[in-house]
Amino acid sequence: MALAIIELLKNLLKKPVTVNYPFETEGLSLPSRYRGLHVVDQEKCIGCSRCARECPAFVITMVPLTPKELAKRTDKKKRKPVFDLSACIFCGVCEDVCPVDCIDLTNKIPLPEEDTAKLVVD
Amino acid sequence: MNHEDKPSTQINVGPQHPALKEPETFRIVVEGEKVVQATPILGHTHRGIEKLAESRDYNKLLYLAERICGICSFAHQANYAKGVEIIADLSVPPRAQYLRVIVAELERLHSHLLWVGVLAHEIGFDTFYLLVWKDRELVMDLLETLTGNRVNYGMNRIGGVRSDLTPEIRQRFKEVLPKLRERLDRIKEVAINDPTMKARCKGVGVISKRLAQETCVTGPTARASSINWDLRRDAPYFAYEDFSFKVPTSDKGDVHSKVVLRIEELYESISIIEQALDTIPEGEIFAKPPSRLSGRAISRLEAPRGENFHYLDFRESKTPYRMRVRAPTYANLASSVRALVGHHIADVPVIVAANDPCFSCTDRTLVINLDTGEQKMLTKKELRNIGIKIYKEGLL
Repeated sequence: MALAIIELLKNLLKKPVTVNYPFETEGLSLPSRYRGLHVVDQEKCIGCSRCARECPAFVITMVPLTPKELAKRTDKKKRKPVFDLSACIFCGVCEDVCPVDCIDLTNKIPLPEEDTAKLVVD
Repeated sequence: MNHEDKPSTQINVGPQHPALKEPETFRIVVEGEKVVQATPILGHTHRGIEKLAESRDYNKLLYLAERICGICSFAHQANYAKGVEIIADLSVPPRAQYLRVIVAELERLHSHLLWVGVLAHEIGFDTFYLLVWKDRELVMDLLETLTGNRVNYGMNRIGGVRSDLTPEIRQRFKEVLPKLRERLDRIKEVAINDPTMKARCKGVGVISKRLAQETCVTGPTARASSINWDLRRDAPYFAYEDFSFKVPTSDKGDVHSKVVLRIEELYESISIIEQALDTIPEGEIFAKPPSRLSGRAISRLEAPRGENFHYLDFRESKTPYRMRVRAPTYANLASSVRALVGHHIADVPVIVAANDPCFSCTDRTLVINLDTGEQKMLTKKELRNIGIKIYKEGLL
């Protein structure tokens, strides 16, 4: 017990190890490899649906482009990937298999939502 | 209820968290405070992973295998990948093998530190629990830096690994590992000398060598009962034959010896990581697997809790015909139950936690007929007969 008390006293003089997130964010950083929120460069995406085929959690669906979006395209792209983040396992396979590197799992954490429909992002 | 003509009571320990935060029931018969009989009841967290595996292609299965266990997720994923690589006759690049060793040993560090903390919590020594978990964060940060996540690292792919070691990450490892070794010295000192640890753990839940052999225990539980067996040394896989390390053993078999043994294992893990960082070869980290697989393989690996076993059967397809997983807790559970007999009720959580159980990896099915309430479990003889029948009829 004495050993533990010495250890305890030493730690009493130090700052808490935990941080009151999300109210305090100072000094918090995630490594660059962290697999967080998806950012898709829809300009770069060619709509090949490889990410949707390889996704182990089946959360990527290929959605047809709207007429407005189609009008902007000069290539043959007709569909775009849409991610359901409520079921995503953040494994990063979509990022790995993308042939044009348009998917990036950033080191941002998706915000919690009351409605899961809001977590469906493109 | 009467047991051996003495007044006795049956109580259920669990299913709400009998030891770790996982559901399992231990039906215990007590005479006064003393446990005279204990029976585990499996099945609360059966998830049907083996059946689900039959509908996933082998690349997607990596992420399902990873989710068999939250703590030894790398062990399950790597073991599965190893099995597929055996079937595909794929040679994994040496650099990938070294990276697998590094992550496997980091996982052992975090798993054992987590367990020491949980055990301290079970004996009511919460100060020690929090201090150990604070030091565990050093390991978690290293895992996050290297793989991109704290748990479910997603490190493996069939034929190699996904993340490479950069000079900056190597530098980070070199800074943190000596600090961790220093902290381990302190943890070991408290674990060995603290009166609370000694009073609650010494001589408690003794598993003798004979009992360990009878119940086929694996991992640190076996090594604490003088069974000198470690797959990393005795059946080397990945790149373990390139490293020199000791396999600590103990002849006491009680909970205290398991604490000390696991801490000693951590020093070896740090040494393996340091050797791997110094000698890691340059080169590719991935070899392309074939599109279809055919064949059967048994893959074994020394997970933090013991021997992890995967059986895979592919028949000219991308999805397995059968996948069978045996987590170490399944092998160790019988010994925990036998070790409970003769101890007080207050020691039950400590003894159950001593084997570092992971019940969701362990749970298997029990067929219950809802109309009649009839429960059915196959006996050893029935299983043997089914095996002989399948073999003779060539169904495999």
